Amino acid sequence: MDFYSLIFQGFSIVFQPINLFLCFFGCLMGTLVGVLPGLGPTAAIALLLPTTFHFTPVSAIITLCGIYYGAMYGGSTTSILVNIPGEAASVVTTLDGYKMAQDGRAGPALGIAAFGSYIAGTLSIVGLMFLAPPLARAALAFGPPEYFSLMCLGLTILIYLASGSMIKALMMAALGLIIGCIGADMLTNVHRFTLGIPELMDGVGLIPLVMGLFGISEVLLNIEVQVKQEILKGKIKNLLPNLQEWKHSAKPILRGSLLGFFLGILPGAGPAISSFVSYAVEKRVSRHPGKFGQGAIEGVAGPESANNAATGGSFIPLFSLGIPSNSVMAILLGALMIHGVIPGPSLMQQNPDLFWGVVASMYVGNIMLLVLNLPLIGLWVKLLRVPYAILFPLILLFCLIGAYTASNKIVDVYIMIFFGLMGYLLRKYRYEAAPLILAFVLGPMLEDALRQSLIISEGSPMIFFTRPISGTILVFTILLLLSPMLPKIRERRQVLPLDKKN
Amino acid sequence: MKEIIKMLVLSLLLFGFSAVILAAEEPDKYPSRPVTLTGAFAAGGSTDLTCRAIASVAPKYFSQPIITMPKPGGAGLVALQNLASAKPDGYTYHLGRPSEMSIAPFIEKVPFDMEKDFIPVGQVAQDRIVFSVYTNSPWKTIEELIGAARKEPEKIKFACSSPTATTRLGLEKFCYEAGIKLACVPFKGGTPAAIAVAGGHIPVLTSTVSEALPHVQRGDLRVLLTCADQRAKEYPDVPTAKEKGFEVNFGIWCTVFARKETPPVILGKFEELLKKAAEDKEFVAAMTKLGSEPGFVSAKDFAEYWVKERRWIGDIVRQVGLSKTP
Repeated sequence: MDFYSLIFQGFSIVFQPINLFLCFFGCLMGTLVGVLPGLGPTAAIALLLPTTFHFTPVSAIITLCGIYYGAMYGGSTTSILVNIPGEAASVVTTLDGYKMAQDGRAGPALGIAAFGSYIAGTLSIVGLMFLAPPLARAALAFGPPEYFSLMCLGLTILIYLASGSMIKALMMAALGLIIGCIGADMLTNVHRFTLGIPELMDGVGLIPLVMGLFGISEVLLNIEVQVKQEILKGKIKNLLPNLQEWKHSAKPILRGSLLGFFLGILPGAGPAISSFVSYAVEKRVSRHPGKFGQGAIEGVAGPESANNAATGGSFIPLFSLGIPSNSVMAILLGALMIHGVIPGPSLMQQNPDLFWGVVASMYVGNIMLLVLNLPLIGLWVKLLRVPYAILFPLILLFCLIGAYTASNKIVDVYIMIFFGLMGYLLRKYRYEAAPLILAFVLGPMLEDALRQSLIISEGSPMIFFTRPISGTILVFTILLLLSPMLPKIRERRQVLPLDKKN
Repeated sequence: MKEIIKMLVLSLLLFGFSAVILAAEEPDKYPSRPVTLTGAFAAGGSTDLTCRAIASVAPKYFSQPIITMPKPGGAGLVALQNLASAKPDGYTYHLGRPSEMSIAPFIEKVPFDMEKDFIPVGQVAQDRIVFSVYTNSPWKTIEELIGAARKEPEKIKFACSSPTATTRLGLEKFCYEAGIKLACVPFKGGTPAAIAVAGGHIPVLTSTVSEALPHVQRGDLRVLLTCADQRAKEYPDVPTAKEKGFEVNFGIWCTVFARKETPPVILGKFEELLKKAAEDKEFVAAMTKLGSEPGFVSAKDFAEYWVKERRWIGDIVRQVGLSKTP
């Protein structure tokens, strides 16, 4: 089938009433978790995964993806109106967005965030549509040695791009690798660190781990801080930005789209990092950098576009190679497997409906979100008034139910509680959970690929260098590892840290 | 989230319900409440889908609903633990696969005796195992592969879905009979294994019929042998193990098991249901879509086969070096 009939087929799947409804449902839930502090997209997707068991795989993935990019839209609302980021990717939006709101320009700020998100989101889907299929066709050339090199590159970039302290990111990645070792050994079936618990033979489940580290810990952390639930008074006017504002925002939106898209493809980067990088770039290229932090519309347009573009980009490695580039993709990888779809090179061939249906759903979903976020903004503002005393116990309850229903095992509930407490301590001491999750997922893949390669080569590690693709990737990885020693790049890296703001 | 709440309320209701009825149970009133059917693999996998296919046709032949419950984990031990701790009253069944029913007991320490604790009730379907090679590999027939492997023992590699996979044991049994040895490269699942062979990174693949099919159709894989007595309809030109004189009639069966102490009258009633379900048009269509081969095998026939199967699996597991208990 040619390209156009595939796209057409994708849209015919989305426009089935049930999928249209589920796409809307996903976007709605995404906006909701984006708006509400205390639950990010990663934990929300893990939480809602069990409810999709009875759907067809396409419907399930459409729903879960909707949550992901929906959260990117919703996150900006709280950042701008209340100065509380709804999720990590909108932290940087608080800098200029909230200032704009204080100056009475909440309308244009919300408007440009939504339009920028829409433009960037749509552009990144176009990119996904054109880049993923050829990459998947080339992926048959990727054997175990190539996967090994890719994982090495992925883990290196993960540390390189981590926000905050690099040492802490390294420590978290190492911890993720260790937790990933739990379970039966893939070659000899010997049990590692299972403590005689049969449920641990298959390793620690990703869903309880994520819900603990992202869901429970977030709630615990929020109970501690006295959040003022103060919402901007008065009516929000002028949601449609004027010509002058568009002129200022056009280039940041385009730059943010490109930047976010390519950073999204890289393992470990994802929406949060993209938004920080975009903010730094906009400040640097601006003719009046002094305005940043004082309510510059570029500081809202750029990052909000970048985080949405990153969502599209991050689907590329998942759909073409079966490698998750961030923690949300790791959950989606699990979700695909649960639905009997193996992510990787054969996905587009064996389940064209799934790939093209999901791509088409993103076009539709972005339009839905534009409608959800602009005319209905008042509704979301009202939602912010739900007292946390009601909200947080509810989130905890849903996490407990969700951890159990995902696999019908009580052990998973204990695992979630354990990692919830651990995640609370980690975040209190400013350790980021994202490198842990990604290393937890990539680590076992790395080990498998390493051992498979060494069986193929009968023990010789030269196999990683003599094969052209693998060798190129490894050389690049080594260069990247050595690059922080060059003073110029070390300077540049310091632009990224998250901690700078605080 | 509504779904979760609904499920919670429903399960609470069910729980209350069953507590009332549990008091006394007579075989001739069977079934008087819903029956649970577990599987040892995650929701959405082929085992779970087979359970659901049985449950969806059951209302035509059975007066009570069947509730399917995936219990993945611990090489199937989590699900078997659930069955072993249930009452032997015919209200809890397990849809077993060779991995946990025949292979795991030789590899893991299991707290039960397969023969003394569990009894087969009837087989409803099975997946066939095939051996294939990368298109550009030099071997056109199974004899050529055997010849090459004889010259270089343990040099030729094969890909499979896991070190303890049913497909692997099928190949190891074949190698044992042919007097050859191949080196095993395990993957996480049949699809990644098939892709590695289709990409030419590993020469030989042991997989189910459906895992190999897309790559065969695209011309990246060549199937050399079907592990069955009859040829697979997907590969009518590929010889069977029987034709070539090997005794490797090994299918990845889907068989329902119960507690051994369950009254025979009750087991008979459930076997009757399984027979009708396995021949139901809707069920046959669902299985064909999954790439499985639907078909009923009675409890008695299966039990005879199962004893033989476990005997050779025990031998092969010890030879390959996977066994924990020498």
